[in-house]
Amino acid sequence: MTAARHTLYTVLSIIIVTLILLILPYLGISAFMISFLLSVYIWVTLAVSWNILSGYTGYFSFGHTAFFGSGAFASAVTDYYFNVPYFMTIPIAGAVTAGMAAGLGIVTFRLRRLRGQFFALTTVVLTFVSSIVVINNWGDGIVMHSVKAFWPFISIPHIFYTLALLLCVASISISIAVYRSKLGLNFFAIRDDEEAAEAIGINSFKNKMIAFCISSMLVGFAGAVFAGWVKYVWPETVFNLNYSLFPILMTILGGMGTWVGPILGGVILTTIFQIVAGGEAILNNIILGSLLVVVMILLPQGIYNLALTGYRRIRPLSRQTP
Amino acid sequence: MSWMPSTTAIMQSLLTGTLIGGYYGLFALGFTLSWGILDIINMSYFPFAVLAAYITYTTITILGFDPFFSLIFSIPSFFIMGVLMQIFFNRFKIDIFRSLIITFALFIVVENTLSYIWTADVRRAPVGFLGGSFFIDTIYIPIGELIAFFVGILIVLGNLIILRRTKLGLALRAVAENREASAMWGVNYSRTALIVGGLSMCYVAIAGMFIAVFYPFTPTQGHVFIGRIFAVTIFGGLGSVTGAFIAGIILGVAESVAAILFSPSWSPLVAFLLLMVILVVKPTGLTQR
Amino acid sequence: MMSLLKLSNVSKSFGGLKAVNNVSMEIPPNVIVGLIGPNGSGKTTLVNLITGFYRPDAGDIFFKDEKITGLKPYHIANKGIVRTFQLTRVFKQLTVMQNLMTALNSHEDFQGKVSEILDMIGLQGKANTVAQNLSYGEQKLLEIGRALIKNPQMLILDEPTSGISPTIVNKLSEVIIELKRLGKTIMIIEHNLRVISNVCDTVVVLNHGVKIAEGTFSEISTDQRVISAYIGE
Repeated sequence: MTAARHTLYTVLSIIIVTLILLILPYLGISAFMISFLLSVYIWVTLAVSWNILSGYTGYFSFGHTAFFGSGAFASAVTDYYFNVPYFMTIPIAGAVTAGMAAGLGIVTFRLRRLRGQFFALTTVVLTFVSSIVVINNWGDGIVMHSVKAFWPFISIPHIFYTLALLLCVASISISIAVYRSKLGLNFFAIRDDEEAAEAIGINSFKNKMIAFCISSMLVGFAGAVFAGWVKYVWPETVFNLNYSLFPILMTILGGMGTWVGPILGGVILTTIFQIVAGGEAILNNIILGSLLVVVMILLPQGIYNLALTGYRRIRPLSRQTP
Repeated sequence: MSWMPSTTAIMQSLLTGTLIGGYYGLFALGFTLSWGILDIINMSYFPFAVLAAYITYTTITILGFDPFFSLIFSIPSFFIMGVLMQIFFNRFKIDIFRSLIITFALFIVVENTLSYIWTADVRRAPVGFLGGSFFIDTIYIPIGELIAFFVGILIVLGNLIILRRTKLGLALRAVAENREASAMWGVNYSRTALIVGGLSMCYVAIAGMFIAVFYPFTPTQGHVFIGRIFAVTIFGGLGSVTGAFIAGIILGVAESVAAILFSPSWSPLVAFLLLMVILVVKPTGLTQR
Repeated sequence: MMSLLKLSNVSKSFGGLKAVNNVSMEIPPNVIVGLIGPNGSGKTTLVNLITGFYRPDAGDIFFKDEKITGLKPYHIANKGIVRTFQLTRVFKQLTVMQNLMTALNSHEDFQGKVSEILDMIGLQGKANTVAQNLSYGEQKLLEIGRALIKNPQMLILDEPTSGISPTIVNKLSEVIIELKRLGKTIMIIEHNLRVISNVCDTVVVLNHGVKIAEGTFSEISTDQRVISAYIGE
């Protein structure tokens, strides 16, 4: 199968699945289901975007919370104080978070020694500092203007369902496109051996910046969609540590570094949250924190890779690693 | 910002900043030892410190004793927990990267357990004279912070003595320099690691006790310290107790000054900016070990 | 252009130790140069300086008469100098094919080039094998293949024969001579003096960071300073 045909099949599959999911709300599924699927789309977006940076390049980021919260707040602030129409606030949120990533990247990606470590801990500090600063200064939160429904049969939940779905699909498409491109190969080379990559001409600084900005931009969009969906934007809610923790768990569980992994992990875990803990946040967090520890020790390669190596033992060497 | 602070205000902020900074240094002691000697970045220390605060709170409110009394409970139990954690890290050969993720997960588990047990209500322990202060001229000196500062100094001095004069100290320095080579010289890394792991948690317990003394606190109280402790640890040099203490003081003063010039609600940003500056200028920090 | 690569009074210190001390050399195009010396004589440091991994404290480096001192490694690689590492550094989780493709500029131009290189290094049958599963010798060949696919004018090989079997050593020597025939310039750091004597046109000898001799293999092997450097002081 040639590369071109491979791409064609991929694009067609994505379009078909998207269309099916798009019309689901109109087939009479419950409001709960719509809300659940919406959360799946958001979590998968977060996991996929985390994977594009940390899975592909190996640069671990704990910063998703900072970007999600910043995206949500960027949307809320521009909506509330500047009366920007909601749909415009989404690209603005993405620009803000991409800008944050760029600023951070310029400082941390230039280091010679211990780059991965310092990047990881910078993102940790970023997440906590940003959450505290926002809580201190905007503790009361922001209430956004309601989005007007513009067609009679498309309700507000449907609008946000569609937005979240499109964002999720876009993220997955970007993830696959990068995975199969030279850009993705650069990322993997950096992950496996950054100095060797530089020795054969890969500009690791530029590539890392691209990864970081794409990843953060997607998270910013997700934050903005979330903000519009919940309308009441409080720092404690949007700067919740779960937004950093869960995508990591989802991706590692599903299979870090493959494009399938975060999707798999995202869907599985969001479903498990719902079934096991319903709304009980504390219990949720304890279980999932413990789960991450277990997964890190017992199954660091993730479900997808486990399945692949099992498959390979039966049928050695398929055409190309998907 | 159109007014200039008076000399008294500046001196006051320098003093308070130094004292609080000393506390930051104290808080960072366990963290820097763990990172520098064991190559473990242990995020769980933050909610564990809050756990120590709850232990102190319970000791005061239920038993009616002095906050320092709570150390009788917390220090031994924290030592054991530290050893257990280190056994876990040793057993699974956790490298520094995985340590960050795993302890981050542990952070979530511990913090949520605290929420579960003690709820999110704010706790304020009645602390008697420790919450008081006295005046020299017009400068106000908070007693609790002063004591914390001296405890910090004591620990730093104690640490220096251990490092220079004892066999354990020699082992610590060897391991910090080069883990593999030190094994050739007969240093039992696993055992040394357990001691360091336990000791670090003891420092965490002490720092946590002071949380209950200084602040009204909630289960998520640890968050405000993360940026500061990271900055202090790196600035002071990984593994250096003295460095952490000095770096803490510098940060404390910087924050105080920033609080006067701008507003206290932005002070966590000072630590973050300091961290960025350090990473650009001199990532190895003030002192090497 | 007289020299492809020119080093002019290059020095580099670490702490108090002068790893490379005032080294100058000129390498004309299309030769094979050996770089030898006892352990710790500064050979790898010199290579790191040439390829941009370290910045010289003093002196300059010129490639094709253009100053490359202080440029980043990827920049120098793109200008035409590619190096391999002493301890093989292939991309362990990528396949042989993917390893080679990382050195290309885009996915389009790979077809012919990749097969060619695979043939040259003898890994045709293993294109889809993950690099981690290759033998050490095969990984070495892969690393060289990856460097070659970038089509550099100058290739620097850091101890290419260490840790591999005599059969592969011979294959390597063949590959190196073939590369010279194709017009490339090669610098080899080696301890295996037989390989050096077989393939090198000239040899440069370092000791304690200083260049102590330069010439053909027979010249330097009879040089008193070189002999005492190896026997030890």
